[in-house]
Amino acid sequence: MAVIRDVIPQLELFQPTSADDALALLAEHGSDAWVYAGGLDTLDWFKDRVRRPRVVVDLGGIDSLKEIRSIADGGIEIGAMARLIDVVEHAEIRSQFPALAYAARSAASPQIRNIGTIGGNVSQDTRCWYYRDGWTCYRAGGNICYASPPTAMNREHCILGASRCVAVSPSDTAPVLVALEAEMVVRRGRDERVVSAEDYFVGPEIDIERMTVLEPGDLLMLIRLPSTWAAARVYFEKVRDRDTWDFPLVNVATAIQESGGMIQDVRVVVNGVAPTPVRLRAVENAIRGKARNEQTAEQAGNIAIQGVAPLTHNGFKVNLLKNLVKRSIRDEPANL
Amino acid sequence: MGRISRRSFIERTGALAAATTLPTLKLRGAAQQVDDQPADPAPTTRITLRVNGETHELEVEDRWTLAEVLRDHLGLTGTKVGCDRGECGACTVRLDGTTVYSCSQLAVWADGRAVSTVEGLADGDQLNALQQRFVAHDGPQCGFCTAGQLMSASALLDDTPNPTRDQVREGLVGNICRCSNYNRYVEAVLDGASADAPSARALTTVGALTPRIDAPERVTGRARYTGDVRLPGMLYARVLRSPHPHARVRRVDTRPAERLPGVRAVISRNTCDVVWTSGDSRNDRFLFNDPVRFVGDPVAAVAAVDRHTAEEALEAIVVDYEPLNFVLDPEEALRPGAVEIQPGGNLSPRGRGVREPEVYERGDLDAGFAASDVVLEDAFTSKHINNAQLEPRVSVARWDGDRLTVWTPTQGISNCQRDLARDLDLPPADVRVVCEYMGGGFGNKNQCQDSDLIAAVLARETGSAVKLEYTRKEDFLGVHGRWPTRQYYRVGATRDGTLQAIELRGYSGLGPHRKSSGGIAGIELFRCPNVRRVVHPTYTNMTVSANFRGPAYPQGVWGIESMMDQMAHELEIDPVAFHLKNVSRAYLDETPYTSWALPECIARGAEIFGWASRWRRAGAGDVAVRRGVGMATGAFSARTGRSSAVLRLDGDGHLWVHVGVTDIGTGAKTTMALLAAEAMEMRLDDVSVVWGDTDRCPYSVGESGSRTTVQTGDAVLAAAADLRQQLVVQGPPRGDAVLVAEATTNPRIEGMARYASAAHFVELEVDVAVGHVRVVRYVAVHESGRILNPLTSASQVKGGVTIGIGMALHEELRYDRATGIPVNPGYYGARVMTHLDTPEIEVHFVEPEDAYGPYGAKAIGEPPIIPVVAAIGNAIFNATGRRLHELPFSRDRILEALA
Repeated sequence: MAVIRDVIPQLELFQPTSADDALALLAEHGSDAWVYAGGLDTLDWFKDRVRRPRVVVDLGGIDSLKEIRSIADGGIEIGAMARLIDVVEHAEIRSQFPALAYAARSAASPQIRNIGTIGGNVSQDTRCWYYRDGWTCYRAGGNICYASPPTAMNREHCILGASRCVAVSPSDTAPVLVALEAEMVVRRGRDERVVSAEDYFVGPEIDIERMTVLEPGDLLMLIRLPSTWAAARVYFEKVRDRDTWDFPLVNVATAIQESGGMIQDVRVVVNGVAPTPVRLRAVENAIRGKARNEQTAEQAGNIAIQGVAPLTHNGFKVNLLKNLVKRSIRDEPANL
Repeated sequence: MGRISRRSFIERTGALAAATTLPTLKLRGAAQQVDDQPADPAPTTRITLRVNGETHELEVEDRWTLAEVLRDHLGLTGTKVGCDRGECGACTVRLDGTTVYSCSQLAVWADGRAVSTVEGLADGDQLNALQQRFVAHDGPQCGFCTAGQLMSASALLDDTPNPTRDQVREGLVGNICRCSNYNRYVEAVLDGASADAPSARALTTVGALTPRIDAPERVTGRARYTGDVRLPGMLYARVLRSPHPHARVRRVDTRPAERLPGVRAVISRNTCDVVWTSGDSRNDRFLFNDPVRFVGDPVAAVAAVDRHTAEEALEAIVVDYEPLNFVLDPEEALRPGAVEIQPGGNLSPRGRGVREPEVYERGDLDAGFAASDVVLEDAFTSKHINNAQLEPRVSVARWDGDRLTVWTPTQGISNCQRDLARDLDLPPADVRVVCEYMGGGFGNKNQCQDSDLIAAVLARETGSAVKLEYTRKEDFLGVHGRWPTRQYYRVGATRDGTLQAIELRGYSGLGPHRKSSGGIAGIELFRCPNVRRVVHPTYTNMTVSANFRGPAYPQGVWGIESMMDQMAHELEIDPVAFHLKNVSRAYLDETPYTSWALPECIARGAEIFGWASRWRRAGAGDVAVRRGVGMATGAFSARTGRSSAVLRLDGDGHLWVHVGVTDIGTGAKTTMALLAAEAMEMRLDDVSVVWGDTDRCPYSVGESGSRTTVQTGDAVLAAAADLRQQLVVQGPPRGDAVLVAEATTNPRIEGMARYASAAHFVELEVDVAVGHVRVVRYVAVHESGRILNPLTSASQVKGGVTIGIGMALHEELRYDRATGIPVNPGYYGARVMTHLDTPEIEVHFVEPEDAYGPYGAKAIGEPPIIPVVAAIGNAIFNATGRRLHELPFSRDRILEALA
């Protein structure tokens, strides 16, 4: 805080043109290396000098990571470096998974969607004011959370699932990907592993200094959307302070397989309320097999807020959560 | 693979394959020749940029942003940097046709790609069609966001040649305009018919719809703002600021910073005891204070060969602080036992040493309440919000011998010159202040700011020109914003709806220094026999508060108009009828107005808005989306005062108008030109304005308090009258001969008050499930005497209303109460209005005769923001039955109120 910064400190920039080269660099430099995708999250950290990695690996030159393609089973693979605007405009995504295109368009502003990537959007760090400003909190390796005391400004923070840290995941595409049962394909050296989107995000009870499963040396390669939910009714809604730029106060993605007015299967995912996007399993279990109507939606909303623990300034998120879950079951998706 | 070198990767990218035989520019730091380069040079890469069709080969540091390279190294300063964080859009350029924030893009990323900037839009002097529409529709006010708006609009129109209104708003939504001229930018892109009509009382030039005379400069990137000034050998300065809200500074060790290569000077309290007296400081405020009294209080400043080195140097300065107790809330600051922020106590003295609250009273309050059938009590809390003008604070200083020149975005070159001379102990003639173009201010660029003095001291220390640029975050913390208030009201009325008594006890937080009054204004809008107002302007350890558009009114009017709305509700009277019965007819019920049309504004507005059919009593219904209507009023002084003007008529028939205005974005230059054209019966094209330079312009009051049109305009008219006399006597000048006339006017208005006024009407929807407020319709009716230029006047209203909506719905500088640190300084945190948040603002003027001011013109800059928060709060009450008592009416507060 004392030193207010704008220009970027010295950095050593690598611009590999293949994923293999990028992975080799990440393997060599380990925790000294910083993965640079669209740069929006990154440059803030650098300009504030809160993060000063020795080596920056810029993925912008790796064309193979930018591809979006249909796969045999009818699903879609989205390269981690596909830009948000590419996701918004992709015809196949819009027809099969319109809620994902809609969520991607709700992120940030046009200029940011023009360089921000889907990989960056799901892997970005939290926006907790304290943490971003360089306070040495738990997440920054310290021994305190500045955002949780009653004197703190915590209107954007957790009402669910906090564990020491009360920061939330800021992603808009993440809850949709979890709802759609997306798979995250991660490489480390030559080893590839597939992580469900649901398991991709890591809460503070597992590792308080990370937001995702990615460890030094790991690279998110692509996001695979299976066809499972392609024909489903998927509702996404984001609530934020203004109609642009802002990260969500709360967002919701609800996927419903519906038949004859009955909910055959359902996945309800919310973000902005917990350290990670959260699947509301209790809600899903309660409404699976029921008619999709006002009463079911009301019940879903009430179950969604069971166990909430709001802080001084974020009690409003409880109602927001309840109302958004309710709407997501009752109302028709807006989409693009 | 063996050891991987960076170069091997670079070469594999093939970036250099496109290399031509163009000479590579060796660039380093700020791209000027300096003898002591920083040690350990940063890694660089050779890149090829195609900018506006021209190919440049450059060696760039890997850490440089595209904005940095365009502005500092290619001299393309049309692209502005407003936040350097991808949160404002001023730096928008097109990269291979796609819009990006050039501040959030490394220059190496643009290697081999085509960059389009605002400089590439016009063909020589021929503006392209979009630029012409931006001029015709009055797009740019201050112009600082204009390049970005143009680039986004160009990209939109390339994809979607005939966009809908909503498509335009979505296409341009990544570009903030803090003048909030969103309606105009959308109009310009659509090129639709504008609702503006010439003044009902038009003369020849006065009253016509006149595009700004300097708009072409603003839409081409040619307008030179202070940040664009680049002088030979210029150094870059940065300020080290306190991380504590209140602390004794035990020791500042600047030596480690001084030893860094490239650092030319470091100043702190150890070496600099310059007092910054500007504004209304009742206590000695040094450039560097001990104790430091707010987070962001300057502790030291550095000048170095480039801004990178200057920032490195800040980190090397060692400061030993002894934290002290602090207090943020003005009421708490006045309680016994509160830490003393300034010697003598936390109640800011009224005059020299008079530590009493500001008191105004008339009548007998107790009798008034005794006579009332209904007495209401309530309290309201407004917040510190930042002016957030697009152009952050920046100053460039240079000494030529004993003479100082300061380039600075100031709302008043004459006052700034006077302040600099006083604080640096120089004869005023040895201080030159230059402000060619400025990117808004809304009150926080009044007079001289500390950046001017710090740059001047560093320039004297180093013998070089020095540029000091505040970052966006510094601008939020280190300059000033609107003062927060708490207002306790008691209002009494009889059953027939006649006000009997008004009592206000108010507290305002000044921060630790007094830069403005901290007043709470608004009760003077109402006629009432018994009134008492007690206001406590109080020192706190929040960031400094001072003038922000409509300074004392928007928050005070919110308080009193909420009380009036509630009183009308309790008495079951239509608020319009209640207002027509109770609004002021004489200033403070005793002094007649020179002209006064507030009742007419209310009646006109109600009719245009369709109030009678839309208003119903508050709180009915249980629907998901609730509609409500609200109204409120406002007034602002339009007093006359002293200014000067010099007119010179050349032998070729061209008229030069020398006036000391700076044009913050209101269109002051255009106004002065059209007044001169009208008075001289000349064409506007034959008039030029010389402005913004104390060496070339006489005294002008400064663009604050909505005074320029009235005061400087009066001087222009007086000089024109003189010139016409000379023409009668001598005939027109021929050849090299000139006629010169000057005037210094200071008209007195004896026994009368002169005020502009307004009535606003809003209809909105509250989506109760998500706490969202959507303004559906906004009608603003203003009385500002004769409207000299309906185009720019309506832009002022549209912008002021929009900023007011942001104040009502979004904005607050939020403080961590345990540490006294504000957590959200900056554009993203402030949540200022955007294209998509802004409704169409319908503007109407009532134009009474007024015997004062140029052709009877009054104030139009400050008034539009005044009624807005109140009108919106009243409409939310009308929609939901809930009255919100704390600003802003953000989703959290609405959801909590409705829970």
